[in-house]
Amino acid sequence: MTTRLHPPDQELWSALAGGDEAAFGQLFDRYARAVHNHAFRLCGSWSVAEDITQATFLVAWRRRGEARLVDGSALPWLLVVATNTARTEWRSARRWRALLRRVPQEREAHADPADEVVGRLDDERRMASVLSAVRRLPRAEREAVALCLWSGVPYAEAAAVLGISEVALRSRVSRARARLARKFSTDNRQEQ
Amino acid sequence: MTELFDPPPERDLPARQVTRMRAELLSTISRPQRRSTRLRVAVVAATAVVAVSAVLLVGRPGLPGAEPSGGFELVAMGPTELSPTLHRSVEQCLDWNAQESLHTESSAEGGDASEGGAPGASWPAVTADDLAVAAQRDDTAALLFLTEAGYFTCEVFWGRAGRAPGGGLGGVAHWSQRDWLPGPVQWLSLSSTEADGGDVAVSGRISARVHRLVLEHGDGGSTTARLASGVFGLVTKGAEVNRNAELVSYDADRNEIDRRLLVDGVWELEHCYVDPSGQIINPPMVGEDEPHPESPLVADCRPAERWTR
Repeated sequence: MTTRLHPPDQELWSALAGGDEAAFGQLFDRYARAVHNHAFRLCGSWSVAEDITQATFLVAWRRRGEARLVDGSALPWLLVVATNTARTEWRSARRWRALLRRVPQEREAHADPADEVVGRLDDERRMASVLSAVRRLPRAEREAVALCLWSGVPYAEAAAVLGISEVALRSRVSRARARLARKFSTDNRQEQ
Repeated sequence: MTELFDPPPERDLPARQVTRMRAELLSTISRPQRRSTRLRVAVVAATAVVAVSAVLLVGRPGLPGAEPSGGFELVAMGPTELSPTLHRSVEQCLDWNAQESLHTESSAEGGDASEGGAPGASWPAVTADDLAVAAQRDDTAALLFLTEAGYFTCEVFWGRAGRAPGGGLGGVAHWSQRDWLPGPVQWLSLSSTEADGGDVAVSGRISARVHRLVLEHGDGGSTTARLASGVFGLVTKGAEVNRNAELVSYDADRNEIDRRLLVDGVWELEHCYVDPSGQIINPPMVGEDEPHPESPLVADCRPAERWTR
């Protein structure tokens, strides 16, 4: 089953390229969740993921004339930008934070429910454990796993944005799977 | 994939968080287009991962022009010092540089060339003669090319033999601050093994009064950079370079003349810098919660230092 988005990304991006801020807002509404979750899976921190998400959309705005939409979807491009931003986060986050105009927060009136907070902490612990294993993979394989397996970007679309062949991308993911399986097997043997 | 390596399920962004993030973004993009100098200087960059064939690296440790089969670090200050491995990385970067069609006037403003890693960046066309620094640790090389008008940075991740290397490209085609430095030192290329540091390869520019440059890792260790003709390059080995890491410059008399956090780079310097004509080449860093001043006062800025090769 295919889902048609209205307005289609291509239409939104055309408006964006013309400087349409409303189109930018729509694009953010459409993909902020996906980018935020992708960023979290790369860095393991919800708060850093928020910075990466905003940085990604700022890049989208600044590079709106140059983005490559694949099959009419902006998501693969945005996720690749998020991946690149996460890679350089430790040296770039401050500059993005400095760039953003902060809006006063109403912390007291809208505190997070306790179970939400606990759930997010659990996520971070779980993700730290996953990342400790995945970080041993070569960077290209690590990012291929995040993009295609975790964020579900189709191989063809991810390969197009990355500028590599689909075969090469599938190969990266396959190698990553094999390495992780070996690690899992070794860890299990050591525990026994 | 084994369940053990599956990430937690996705979460919704809380509505109020979405609202705030959205408002901040819209507020940011809606501000008057006073293009900050800081934004005109792209730092490191972005990603144009290209598939090509990789090459097996072989050699013996300690011999000029050869590399060990195990871990190694190399720093070459220009095209005349290239080992076979570095030469290969240079060729790869030149190939990627040539493949990119965006040597256009789109970056004539100097500006949005490679902010934050967007695909499709623009940079100057370069040749091997433009190579200023080539640094390599094991299978990862970081190169800096300087042209008459701008600069180009390139990272190559070779991976294993027979596998396609990946890389990151960046730079600025027309660089308005080319003749000036924000103080004695300015890094232009920084790559790291981990998202939060680890081992790093750094290259950039120095003024004539810098005779020694040391990276203090922040973990108790330090690495001395190689200097040549207004540029520097360094590669750490087995370090845990962290957010406290500082680049420390010394003059010919071994006096410390400058100390700055590495991660501040060229974007977020604590001070603004002004050239003798009164032109501010780097505005000061603005804190998260501080208002964005329209323009820093020249009197508050430190003197920029002239850069020559």
